[in-house]
Amino acid sequence: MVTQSENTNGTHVEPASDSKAAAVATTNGDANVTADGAEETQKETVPLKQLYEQSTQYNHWRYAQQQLDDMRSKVNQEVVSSIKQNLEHEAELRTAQGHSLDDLPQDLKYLTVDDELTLLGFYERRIVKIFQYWKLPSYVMATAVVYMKRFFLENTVMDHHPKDVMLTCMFLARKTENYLMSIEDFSKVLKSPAESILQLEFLVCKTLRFHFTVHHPYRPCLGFYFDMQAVTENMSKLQKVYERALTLIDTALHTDLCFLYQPSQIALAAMRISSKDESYDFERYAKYKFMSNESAAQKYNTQLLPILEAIEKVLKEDRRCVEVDKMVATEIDKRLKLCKDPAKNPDSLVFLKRKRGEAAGDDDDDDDDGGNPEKRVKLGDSA
Amino acid sequence: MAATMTMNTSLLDDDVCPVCQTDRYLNPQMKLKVGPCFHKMCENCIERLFAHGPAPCPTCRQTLRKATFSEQTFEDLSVEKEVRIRRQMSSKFNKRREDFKSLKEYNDYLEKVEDLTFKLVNEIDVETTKQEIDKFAAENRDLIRINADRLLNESRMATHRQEMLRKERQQHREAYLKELEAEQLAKSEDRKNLIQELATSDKSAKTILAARQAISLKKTSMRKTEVKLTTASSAGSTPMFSDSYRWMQQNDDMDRRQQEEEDDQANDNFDPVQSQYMEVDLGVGYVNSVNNNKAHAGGLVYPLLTSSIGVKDLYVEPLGVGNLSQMAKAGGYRNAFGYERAIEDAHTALYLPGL
Repeated sequence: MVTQSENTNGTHVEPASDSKAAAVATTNGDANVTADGAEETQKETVPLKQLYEQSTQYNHWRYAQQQLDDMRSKVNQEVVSSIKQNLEHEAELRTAQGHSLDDLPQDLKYLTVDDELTLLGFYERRIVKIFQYWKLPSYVMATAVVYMKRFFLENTVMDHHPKDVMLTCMFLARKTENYLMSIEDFSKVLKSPAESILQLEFLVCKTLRFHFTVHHPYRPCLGFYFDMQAVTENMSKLQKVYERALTLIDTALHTDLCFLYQPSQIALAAMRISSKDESYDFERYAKYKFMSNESAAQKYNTQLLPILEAIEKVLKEDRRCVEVDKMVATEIDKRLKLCKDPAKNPDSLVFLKRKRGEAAGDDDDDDDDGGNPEKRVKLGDSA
Repeated sequence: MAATMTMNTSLLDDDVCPVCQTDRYLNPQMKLKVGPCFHKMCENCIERLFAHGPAPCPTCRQTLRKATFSEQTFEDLSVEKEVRIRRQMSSKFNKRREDFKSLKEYNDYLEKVEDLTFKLVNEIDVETTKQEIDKFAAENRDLIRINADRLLNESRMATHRQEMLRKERQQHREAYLKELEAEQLAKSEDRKNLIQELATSDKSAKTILAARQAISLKKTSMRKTEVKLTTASSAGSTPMFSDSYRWMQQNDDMDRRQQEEEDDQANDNFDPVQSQYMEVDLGVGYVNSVNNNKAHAGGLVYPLLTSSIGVKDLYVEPLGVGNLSQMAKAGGYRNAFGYERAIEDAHTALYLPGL
């Protein structure tokens, strides 16, 4: 399930490699160190990267909070301005041709980034509910949610309605996590036409840059559960701590933590918080594991502990940890309907004009597959 | 040998002679034959057209004779053509490896033959190719004849050998039957004598029976050694043939014995997860590789933390998830494999800072 990834991402911080087994090796990109027979004995000692550091999630889908905010607001502003332009254009065309301006929305309250995030949160929780009905392991649901989050880093809800994207992400996640459901069954169960799901599928894949493998905190959490057994007498309490930690990880899924921190860190933070709630002695495990000597303790306190505390803070304060009220979501949805880009509306004059321009061959339509089903690339049988 | 092959008759149901348009309904015994120009005709047409000597083929106007028509062995006419050409070629180009000084020369010769064949099959420069072939044939006439004779000899030897083998097998079988018969006879004789003795003599029944048994045992063992000797002696006369026969027999015995052994083993300790599999390096996935605590996953190499962390063999598994170890066992993995993976994942990237 591990995807081959490029190890060259210029922007990310070179990690402090923790591998205690620094062995003589050649990593993926390294040159032929063993080419010359004479230099055999003087090989360069390159510490091996850990497996997670070679994954796409680590190399391409990590951001700082500021970066996330910037990306989202940038996309939002672009779309809003383009819609504004198109609306003006539409108004011009209509007045030129003598049509009425009545049904054109005036003084739109466009969606802000906050509104978008609220709406997305609502649909993410819908994903969770539907997957609960299916009784699949939690990582499948988590993968679908992460796909949706990644998709909406580079698109807005005004471009693609989150409902359609939600269905496509779920369908895709079921495929990549090996719980395939055919498109016929899927559309039947979810009472939605197969066409719309499949139309978006390639676009979603492309936006995800085909990085389908997502690492979640569930397995690290299980790993900590096993590891903590070394210092635990009361197994039932540890069991409770573990279960609580799992629910915490489920809530963490709706925040941006998957972009900010590593899954093992999130898992450890979850165990720490839940052991506080269940009055289980986490410090004992921390001492046993991470603070066996002076330098290790130093390392733990300066590097790991701040991360754990930051995660705890996010989990306490981020409003997305709370259920989104349905009324709020419907209100935002209503506004969304008004914000539709006229260029996508097949009845509008702007759309017709653009189509005519396309037919004449001078206008190259953008990547968006929204209006043109013929352009959709069929990736074999979408079963 | 190939000439005995006949085509699948179900394919011939809608055959129509291209000349007279009769199909199998009008003439149930219609057989289509192929001429040197590879056009098909039913036998009646051939009879009709070529009864008075050579005549042009109705399709391509080449002059043909009745004799040059032959049965079609291959569905695909191009294959038929190629086979015919190759047969002709092999009758002329029958040099062997031993006739050449080096392997390269032999290969060059073979390549030349293939070239000529290709040209003939695809009708490129037919005239020049035919001339070349004739030239070759004339030059190497003697060698060709020698090789042809050699081939004939070999085939004769092969058939002879088969005959001998068959005879040998028959002999053995007859001997075996004879022995059986003799045994039966002896048994009935014995019984008769026993009854006689019991009836007439005045020794006790037990002693008579005991004596009988001793005698009969000796007799059977003697007979067995006798049989062995005879077979050994008869085997000595024709070593080549009976060797193979005995080899075959031995193999049969061995197979039977092996089968019995396997059956016994299977019944004794059926263990789907044989312990020998546990130590095998699967090569993919998070397997604790033997060398340098490195693991491989789809071409990527990475160090294992669990080597320094230490993974126990048994952990208490969380409730409510079902029995993880049982599921793992079905796949043939140790349950420690799952623990290793979980703990490895728990500790990787723990100290990596955020951006």
